Amino acid sequence: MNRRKFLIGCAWSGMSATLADAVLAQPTDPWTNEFSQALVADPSLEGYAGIAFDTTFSAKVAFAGKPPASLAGTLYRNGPALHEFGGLRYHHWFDGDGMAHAFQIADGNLTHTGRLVLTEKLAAETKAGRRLRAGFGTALANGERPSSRDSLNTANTNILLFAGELLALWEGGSATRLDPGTLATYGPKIWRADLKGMPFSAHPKLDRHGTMWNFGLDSLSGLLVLYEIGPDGVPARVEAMQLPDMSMIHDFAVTARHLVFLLPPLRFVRESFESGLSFLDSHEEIADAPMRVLVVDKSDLATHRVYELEHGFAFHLGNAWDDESGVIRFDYVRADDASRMLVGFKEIMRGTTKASKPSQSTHVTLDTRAGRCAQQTIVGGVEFPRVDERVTGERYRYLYQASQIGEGAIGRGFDAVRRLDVDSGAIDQYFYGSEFLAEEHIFVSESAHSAEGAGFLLGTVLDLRRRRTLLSVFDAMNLAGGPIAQAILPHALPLGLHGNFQAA
Amino acid sequence: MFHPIQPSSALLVAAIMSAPLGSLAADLHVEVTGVEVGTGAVKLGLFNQAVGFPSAPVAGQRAIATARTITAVFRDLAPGVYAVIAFQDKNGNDILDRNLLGIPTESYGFSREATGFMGPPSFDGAKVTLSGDIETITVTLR
Repeated sequence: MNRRKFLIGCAWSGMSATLADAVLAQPTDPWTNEFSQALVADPSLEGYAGIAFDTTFSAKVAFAGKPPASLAGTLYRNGPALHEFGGLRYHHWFDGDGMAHAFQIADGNLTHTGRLVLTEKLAAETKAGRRLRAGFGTALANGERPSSRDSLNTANTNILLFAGELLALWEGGSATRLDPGTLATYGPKIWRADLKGMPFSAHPKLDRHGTMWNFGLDSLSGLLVLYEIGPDGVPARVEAMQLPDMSMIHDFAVTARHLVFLLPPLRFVRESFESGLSFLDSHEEIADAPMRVLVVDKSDLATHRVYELEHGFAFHLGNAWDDESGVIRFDYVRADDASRMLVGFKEIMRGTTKASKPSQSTHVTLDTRAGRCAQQTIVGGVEFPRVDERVTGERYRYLYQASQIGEGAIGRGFDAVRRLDVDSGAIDQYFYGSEFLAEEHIFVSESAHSAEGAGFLLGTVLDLRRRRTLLSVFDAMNLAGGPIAQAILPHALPLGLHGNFQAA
Repeated sequence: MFHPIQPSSALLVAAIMSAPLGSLAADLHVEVTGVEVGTGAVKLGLFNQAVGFPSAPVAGQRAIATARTITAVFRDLAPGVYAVIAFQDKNGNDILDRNLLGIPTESYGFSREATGFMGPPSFDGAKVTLSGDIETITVTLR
């Protein structure tokens, strides 16, 4: 990071706070102070501090150990990073404006570039010197009323290269096009003129033919939009279906024949949103109601069925596959309720953490003909499930997950990474240590034709002692053996969300 | 939500017929900025009440996209309150195109640069008062 810029950023933030207090007569929001005091007492909150609005990252470091020659390319990652601006600290982890990162691996070196996605929202706010638009979980007393989905777009959830374009993804609006080299922002992705401004979620799935499947949820109209986009980036089918009882959907899974959605028992209350509550706070969790499974037929997107699981909540699905007998098998990361999203990811932004039951890898067998669902949970707190992407929608053996072993990570994140053998239940795990917070790890195959699981696992981890972010490369068949190569960046990055690898 | 705007000539005639003549009449000049030059005409709709806003204008104008900012004039209007919508009809189909969710896909804007809550503004949010001979307002297409 540019040190001088960082200092200017701090001064500017402080000045804006003073201005806001004097001119707008807003009561000073206490979260900024509460968090900075908590951070002094507990350095493990570092990953939630965020960056100054004019921060950019640019660094080149050598790997310790030797990254394999076949692993040349760029790991792109994204996540909320600008948590504080204009004297206001957002009240939810998911609110921060997205920062795109490129971790380029070449010739035994790691080159890191990090840049905030300059969305229309962020451009307007930096020009004004203060927050203008509400966040996903933060209402703004003196903010503008949201005029469209994209007026709230922070482009902060995922990033991938598809059909020659680097896309920063958010789930409530358009994808945002970035320059794959410099990460400069070009603007919203318009898949087709008549699809401008439609919600395009942050977890698209690519099948073996290179077809991209995705969805978008419009809570206001109760419509679930389904996308099938060809490998050339041209939409083949885009259809909207009315969802019975609106929910909140972050991720989904595809099989050879179906699209599989989990609908947690959350109800969107339009009146709450219109009255000025944040989008998140406009949702109510319905006690004891089942979590529904929505199965859409890929051959006819108008055909769907709904099944029920016990009450619960999920952000992520790992993978899914189905067989000729009409049985769908899929895994998801299950929480007993939505409290982490509704409360936990708020409280951490003021430096308060609470131990709660960790979310667990849960495996569902859904017999679509008999209408029966059975699920089995595997012990251990996990999140960020990934697979060897070549088996997306097909029978798979390995799941890669960030996991939690020690006490230090409780309420803050994960301290380990694991490979779960879905067939045998065997776990291959690496524990970073009690003062590390591990982020999503991504599988990269050794070659296009290598067997499932033969390759590397790549991921970032925040080293709280050194206040540095590290990038590790594992032999994906032997995580317990520890990283075969690791690079230490000269800076600590905010904890992020999702990413993808692009081979050189 | 938005509805296609199709100002009919009958409505236009009705608007002109009902406008008072002589010194009471005023002109509303609308400067439309954010025009993409050469990609389709700019269409404007005029409203004088909340009923029918923003789908059934009482008068319409059409201007060729010759510059980043173009000016259209609604002439001989009775003094009172008015609201204006402008959009660029890029594909020349005479309507403000919308996606599956009803969100406009062509650039548009309202008088007083009004925006609504996840949709169009209210008539009150966009209304301007026309009292003198000539009033000039700006609408930015976004």
